[in-house]
Amino acid sequence: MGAYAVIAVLGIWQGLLIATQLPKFRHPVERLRLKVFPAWPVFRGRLTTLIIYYRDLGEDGTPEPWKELSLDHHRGWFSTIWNPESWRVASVKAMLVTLAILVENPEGRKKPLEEYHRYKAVEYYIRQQTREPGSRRRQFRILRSWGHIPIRSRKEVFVSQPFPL
Amino acid sequence: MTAAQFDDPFTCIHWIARLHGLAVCVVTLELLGAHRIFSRSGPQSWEIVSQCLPGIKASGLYPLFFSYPAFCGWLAARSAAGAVLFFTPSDPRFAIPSLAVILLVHTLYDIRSLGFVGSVTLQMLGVITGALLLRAFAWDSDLATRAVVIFIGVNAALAYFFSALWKLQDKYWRSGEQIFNVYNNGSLGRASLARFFHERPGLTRVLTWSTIGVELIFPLVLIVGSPACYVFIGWSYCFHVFNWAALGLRGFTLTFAATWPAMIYVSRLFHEWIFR
Repeated sequence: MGAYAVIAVLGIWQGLLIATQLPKFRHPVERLRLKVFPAWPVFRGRLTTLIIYYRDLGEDGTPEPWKELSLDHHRGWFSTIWNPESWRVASVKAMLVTLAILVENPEGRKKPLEEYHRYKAVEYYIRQQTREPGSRRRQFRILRSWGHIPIRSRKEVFVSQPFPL
Repeated sequence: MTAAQFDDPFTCIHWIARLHGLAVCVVTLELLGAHRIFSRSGPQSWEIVSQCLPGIKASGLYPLFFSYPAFCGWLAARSAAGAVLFFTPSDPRFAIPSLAVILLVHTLYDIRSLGFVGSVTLQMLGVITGALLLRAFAWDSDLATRAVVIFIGVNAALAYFFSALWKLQDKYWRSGEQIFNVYNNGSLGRASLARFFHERPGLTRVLTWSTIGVELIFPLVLIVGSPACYVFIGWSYCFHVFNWAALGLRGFTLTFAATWPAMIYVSRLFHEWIFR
């Protein structure tokens, strides 16, 4: 009896796994974030790199120079085996990518950008970076780069309004 | 190991579970090494994630499952469960609780990362863990064990196939340049390989289209039998090991390695059913 129950569950799961490859059924699965119904869109779309800069503004509004938030991770031979830093980089990149999608598709926005969680998440993370003495506010900007061989020049994606520290 | 040994579903699932345990253990240990990403100032801090998941914050589950030190404890538990599964893949007293812990922490991490980080690796880990855990309801059943092995093998082959279909819908893959774009990518790629492919556009087009082509025909691995199935498994091995070395995709490689015994089993079984 147990074996037939296992087969029945696997059969239903298999059917749903195939069905959820169709865009029509994909959307509800993505909303539920169910990883038991995977999709395999590996390395799709424009493979660019997002870079984030931030700067502090003094009491009188004078800005400090832009500083790049380091998203480099060591790529020596040992990193092929062990590279925990790659998880931090992947986490920050994931935040930037989701914000960039929101910025670049204004028609899909239902409220001001600053009210979206994706924006608040990036703002919170940037807020945690070391502060210049005497600074009161901070802002960040996101640029799109075309990788190791720059086949195009960098493009600005977004510059935030200054926010209090 | 000989090819004939993979005709036994219990031997096969033993190796799937063992390799799966190894993949879970290694991937989770590395994540634990990056534990600061979950701290208050990290990119996956609860302060960030809770803004996107107000329901969980309100439910009171946060301290036990998601607070910074507690979550690392769960990750340590998953890593340990992976190690236990590696050493005792066929003993239900240890394997079933290990798989349950792996699935629980897998779900917690999925919530915590909002599903964005390491998604391809985690998706396959989720499928394999879920299928192996289902076997707990009929551990000694030959029929259920066969079904689980077939399920894992079929879905591994379909993963390549569906990946190829996604690629065919993508203009960057269809342009024949995407292999260069992958290695030119600032966060994953390598400058030396990017230069290599940039200087050889013909080779780039051949490799881009051959990747799509092999992935499209990959489900044939399920019926060709042995030794032909080793051509596909060999391609999969080279594909993943190269991506591991060039792009650092360790988890991706280890996770799919666990499916190779299942693909060999299914290939031999289906070939016999169809062509005997």
